[in-house]
Amino acid sequence: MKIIVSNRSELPIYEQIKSQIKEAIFSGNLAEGELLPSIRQLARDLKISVITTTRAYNDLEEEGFITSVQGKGSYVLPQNKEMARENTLRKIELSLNDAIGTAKAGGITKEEVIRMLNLLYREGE
Amino acid sequence: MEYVLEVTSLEKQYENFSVKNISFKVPKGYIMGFIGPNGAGKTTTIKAILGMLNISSGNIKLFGKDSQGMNGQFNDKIGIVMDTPYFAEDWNASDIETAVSPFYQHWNSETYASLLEKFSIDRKKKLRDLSRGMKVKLMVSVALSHHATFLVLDEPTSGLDPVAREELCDLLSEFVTDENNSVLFSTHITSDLEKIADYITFILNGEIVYTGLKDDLMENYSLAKGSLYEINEEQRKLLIGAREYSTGFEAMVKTSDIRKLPNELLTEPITLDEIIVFMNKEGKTDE
Amino acid sequence: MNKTLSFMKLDYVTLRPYVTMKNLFIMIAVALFFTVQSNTSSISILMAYGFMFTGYPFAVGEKCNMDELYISLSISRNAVVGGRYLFTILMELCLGVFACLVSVLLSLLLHRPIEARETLIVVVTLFFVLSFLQTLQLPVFFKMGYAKGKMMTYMPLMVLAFLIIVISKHVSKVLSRFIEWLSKNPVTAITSGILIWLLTVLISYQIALKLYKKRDF
Repeated sequence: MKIIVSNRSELPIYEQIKSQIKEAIFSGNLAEGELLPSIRQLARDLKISVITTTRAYNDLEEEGFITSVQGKGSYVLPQNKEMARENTLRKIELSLNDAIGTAKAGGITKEEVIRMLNLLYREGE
Repeated sequence: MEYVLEVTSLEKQYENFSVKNISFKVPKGYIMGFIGPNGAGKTTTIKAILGMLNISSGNIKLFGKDSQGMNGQFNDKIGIVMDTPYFAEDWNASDIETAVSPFYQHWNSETYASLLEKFSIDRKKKLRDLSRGMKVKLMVSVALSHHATFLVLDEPTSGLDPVAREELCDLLSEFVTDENNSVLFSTHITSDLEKIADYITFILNGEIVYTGLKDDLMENYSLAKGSLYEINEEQRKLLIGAREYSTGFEAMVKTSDIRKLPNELLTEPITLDEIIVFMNKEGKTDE
Repeated sequence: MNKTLSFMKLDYVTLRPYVTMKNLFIMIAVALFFTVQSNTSSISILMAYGFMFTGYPFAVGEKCNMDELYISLSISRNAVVGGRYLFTILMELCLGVFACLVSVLLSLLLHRPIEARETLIVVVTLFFVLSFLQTLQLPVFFKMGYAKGKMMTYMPLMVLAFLIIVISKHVSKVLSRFIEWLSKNPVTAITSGILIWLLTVLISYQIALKLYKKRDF
């Protein structure tokens, strides 16, 4: 699992960590029951404060993604397939909105966009 | 919540300077940055905590016990790094070990030796022949070789190049991976703390201006830039330490006040350094 | 007591870098030079060295901020002051003994008569006199540190020493009668001497302690 944080992002560091861990869980990079790096070790590795990593993990626990066991660490909880699907749909929606905005600004028609979409899907197969 | 250090209403008067009403607590397992401009009272406060000064009033608790500085055996648990070494300048690293080890219950020779090696400090070189960076690393080596659980550092990074500062911060981060360890780190080079500090205590003109979570401090304030023509009298009062120049102004504002300001202004996250500068400026205009 | 002894060892480690062959050589050479003149002068020089050495731990300590070191090692101010007083007294005692030995040795070498009684009286007198001067000097060192303290005490002490010498010349009659009485009552002399000395040291120590405790580093 990879977590990298940016000091120059508008997004607070604890949010960056949260979303990257969630990503990893949704994409399967983090398996159910897998042990996450300890709060303090993660803080040390990323060169950030312990409070920041604690906050990220606390939020993730509250949102049902992970659970913490005293003395052992934090584990990934089994995920709701519905939520993963919804998350994926949300991301597609964001990307599509982006593409649509670009198309409209550049004077590209909806038909041209759909044609491109079909082409790309076929290439992917 | 356990605290390794509790300072309550500390006061120290000098002829033409004083620190007063100093109250803050360092929670166990975390790094607290002690920031403020030069001359604000950081060193005075730290020396008072360590019993190097006689205080006018106030109470200091170390590890939950009332203390008058380093009486008893507090020295075992507290590792100290001051901004100038307090060892004989003709001592070398081995002499220092000979001198201080009898005073600690658990002096660890192996740890000391491996730290000296890690920092490439020549054991035979006299203290006065070491560079500033080496001197700091030597003090840190001593501080970490007697099973201390609370590191107190007073301006250790001033005069150090970025590489050395990074190494020191890394060391402190490593130190608190053990949740029994805590750090109090005073500095006027706040970029070091921006990343690793959990808590911040900010002192200005001898008084505490903020003490609490670093994240809260940095989220509570923002930088605002724009033109003075864009704001009215009411809004002008919301600016802290405003710096005006021919093509506009920049100031610190409370993040919660941003909605009261016009949209034309540029607002962005603020750095610790900027908080100090603007607060300091505001403090001066108050006088 | 433990901490006091450890502190004395610390002072020793502090001064160790300066105990070089060169320094020792110079000291002994100067002493020898005076020996040629008379027995008493060599003893005086050797014991005067002790008086000078009192200041060294203060000198190095101050230059290197070592009062902060002592605090960081949880060495109480009592231990610091007590340790320095003990160190000073021990130093003078050792030098006194050393001076006696040197005097005997040199008398043998130079085929001079060993004036045991005279030597002893000189050594003991010097010990008390120098000790007394130190009890005046130490509190000043503890209050204002070495640099300022040296400035403040050297002049008055030189004057005092000079006065003692001058006065002793003029009241030699009273003095010789006093010395006669002393030699007739050696036990009383020595016990009262020691008691007065002890009292002076204790008072000086208390004053020094009070002054040192007030200091800020």
